[in-house]
Amino acid sequence: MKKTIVTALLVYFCFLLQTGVFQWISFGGIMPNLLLILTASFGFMSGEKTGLLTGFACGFLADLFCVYGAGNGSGELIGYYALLYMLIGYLNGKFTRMFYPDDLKLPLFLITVSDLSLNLICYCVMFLLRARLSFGYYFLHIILPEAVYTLIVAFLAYPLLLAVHKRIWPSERGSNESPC
Amino acid sequence: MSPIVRRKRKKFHIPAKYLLMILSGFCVLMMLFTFRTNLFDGPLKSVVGYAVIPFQRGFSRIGGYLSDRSKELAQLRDVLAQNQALQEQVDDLTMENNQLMQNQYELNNLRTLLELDETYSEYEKIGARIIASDTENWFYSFTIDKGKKDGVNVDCNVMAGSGLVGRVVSVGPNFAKVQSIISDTSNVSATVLATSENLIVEGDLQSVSSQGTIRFSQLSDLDNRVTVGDKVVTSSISDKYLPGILIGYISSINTSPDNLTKSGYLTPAVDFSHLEEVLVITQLKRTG
Repeated sequence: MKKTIVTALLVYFCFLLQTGVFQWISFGGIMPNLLLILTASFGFMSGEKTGLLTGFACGFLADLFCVYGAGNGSGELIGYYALLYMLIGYLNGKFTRMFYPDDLKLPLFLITVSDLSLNLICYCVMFLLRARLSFGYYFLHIILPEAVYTLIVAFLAYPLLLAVHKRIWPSERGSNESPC
Repeated sequence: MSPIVRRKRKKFHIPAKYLLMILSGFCVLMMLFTFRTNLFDGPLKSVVGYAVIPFQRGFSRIGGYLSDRSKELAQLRDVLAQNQALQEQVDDLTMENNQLMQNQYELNNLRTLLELDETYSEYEKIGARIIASDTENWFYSFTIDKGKKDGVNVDCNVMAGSGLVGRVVSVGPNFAKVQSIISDTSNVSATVLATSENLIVEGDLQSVSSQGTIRFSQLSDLDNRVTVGDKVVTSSISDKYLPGILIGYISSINTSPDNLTKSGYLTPAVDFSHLEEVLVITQLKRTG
């Protein structure tokens, strides 16, 4: 119960930071993706189930405040980011057994790879299918900068998330994880 | 461990794999529903309106405050130097202003003669603060702190200063989501003011993020009368946008491969990277 409440509050807080504050610290129009850092971190810190639920919550909030310009004219498509973030949380959960809190390499690597794949999928679904073919441009000017910026922010945010995680999942690493 | 405890645990246990499948199915269903209908608009919007928007307002104020402070520090030195230069400019401009006042007077007279005084200064507008951006870098959309209660409706036009920003695509009780004209999926029907040729302004992430320009196409200009620097305003044939709102200035023109129409880029009249407050025109375009 405590875990759920703390996680929900954390998702909410990160979402508010992402939408309200991060546009002011963007470099060249590129914002880091805090929701992704949160999703991936909770994935590999506490397992597939927590990862996918955190991802679902993050993605759902992201969906509510994004306009894709698709379909019926209202431009909304709820469920798209929810699905992507959920998959990212789930897949990161696969690395729980390889994860050691003191080692920074794996977490940062996983966060960066997650961010790259999320944006690659977004490019393919939202842009490539509408015949925006210059992949090189989008990769160099949107996807890569965001991955780098996210990596930098993850460097600061990950220790904080780890501290929170240690408080609410005290010393029983992996026990929350489902056995299958 | 006692067997009772174990049984309890099993009851509540759903393996991650199945949970993933169930939620994926849910997401896909939601996507299908929201793509075609507005079924979830009512309840979802109210929940968002009361659970998220008030906090978002606070957070965006923090963000704005921080950026203001950092800007102040950086600008103080520039401001001192600028002050001197500006003082000289004031003198020049006062002279120029007198001359322009005369022209303005003449223009007003001519306008009344032509009954053309229907510029967009007459549209009813309300001010709104931007309280949230979207979470990703792919689309330029944002949320404002005025909604249905304040008279904002879907398809209301949004301006900043004198230029067009975009239009409202969905409304909640106390917030509204705005799709900007630089968003990759946005299309605006527009007119070149000088020659009344119609064209389509298409948001394009690539040109926006590399040069700060918006692409336009389907400009039929067989006599080559449209030139760089011409004003582009929303056209009267658009079904979403009110006529005569300034979009930007043409910055380059090319002939399309089909040799019939022209395309190119225009510089928007609004500085989209520093938007904080916008004006929402509550009047809707009447069609049909």
